[in-house]
Amino acid sequence: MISLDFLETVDIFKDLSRDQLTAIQACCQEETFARNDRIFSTHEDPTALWVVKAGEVTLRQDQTDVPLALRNITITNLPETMTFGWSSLVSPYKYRLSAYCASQTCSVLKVDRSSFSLLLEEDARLGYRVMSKLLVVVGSRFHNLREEIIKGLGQDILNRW
Amino acid sequence: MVDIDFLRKVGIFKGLEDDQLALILENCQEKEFPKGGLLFKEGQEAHCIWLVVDGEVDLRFDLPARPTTSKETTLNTETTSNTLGWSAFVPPYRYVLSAYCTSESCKVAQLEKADLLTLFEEDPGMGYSVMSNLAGVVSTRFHKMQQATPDKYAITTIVIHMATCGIVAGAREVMTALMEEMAITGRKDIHIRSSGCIGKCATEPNVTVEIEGAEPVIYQEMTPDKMRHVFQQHVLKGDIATEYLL
Repeated sequence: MISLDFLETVDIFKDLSRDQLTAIQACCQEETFARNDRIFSTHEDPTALWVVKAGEVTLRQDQTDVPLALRNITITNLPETMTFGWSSLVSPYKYRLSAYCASQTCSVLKVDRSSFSLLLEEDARLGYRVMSKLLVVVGSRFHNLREEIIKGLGQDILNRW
Repeated sequence: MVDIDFLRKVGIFKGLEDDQLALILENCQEKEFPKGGLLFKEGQEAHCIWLVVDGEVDLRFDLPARPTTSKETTLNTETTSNTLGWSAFVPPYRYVLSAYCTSESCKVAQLEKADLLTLFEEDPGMGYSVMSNLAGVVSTRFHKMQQATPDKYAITTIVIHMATCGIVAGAREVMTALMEEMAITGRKDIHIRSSGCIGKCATEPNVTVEIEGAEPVIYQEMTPDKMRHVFQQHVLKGDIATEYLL
């Protein structure tokens, strides 16, 4: 059983009531992975939202339909309490990146998409709070990606200048 | 003209009822910009979101000491019913790009973040829908960016081992062939460097190809022709030239 004390430290569950956290607790289960184990890939059906409980998780661009030089590029590393796999809750419901265990072992929370989505719809106030926090997660991930691209574009332009 | 019909077409308001759209409409402030007009600038506090009502808006980034007027600094072009400025809901709440009108003129509707948050607190169902849709917009752009610019992530280094033993065996000629191939491709993401001996003098010239995420690959007894072949097959297509491996 995942403790409420841990849940209230999770980035997208901050400031929720104990009752709301208890309801979320019922959607969670814990899983453990070893270094380089794949937690999910871009090709899988996104059935869960994930949270790093212990250890570190890395998110990679892992598409097989691009040349070797473009694969396995790390977008970000996530420490404890950070959320990943947000595509499971956001249209068009496709994982954008693959997730791997980056520490010797890692323990992650698997939040079942179906039951969690139902919970958010039934309790609109909870849904609003969680989606507001999730938007911050998605937006921050987008900012990271965009920063990298701008850096690359800027370097290309300045090199030609 | 911003009306309920227009708001129905805006992606972030998908699923809202007409009475909810009417409340949003009350808070829309229409503005018009001429071609080249600046809607907002990178680094400014993001206190509102923008809906493109008519025309086109480019999202661009700035480079030091250069005007942001070039197409090459454009990341996205937004058209009718698209949303700009979701940074208003994401820390540090500052626009990370500048927005310019690129059509003859453009009409936009501005929505203050504070007004929207008040509406969402009063009607959390509306807040849930809009935040979900907004996350979907960002997700779609995330994917578009991944697909459109994968080459910005290709980190490839080719190392020519040019100690005395390598040079005597022909490493300079190998380097020349590589530079010629690089000039033809125009790829900026591939880095070339020279380094010392790797302790395999008998197999010089040696060349190492390092592609991020994969183990380094060392080639032996390279010639200009072999270098061209490795460049085309391994570096550009991703297939290791096994016949030349050390």
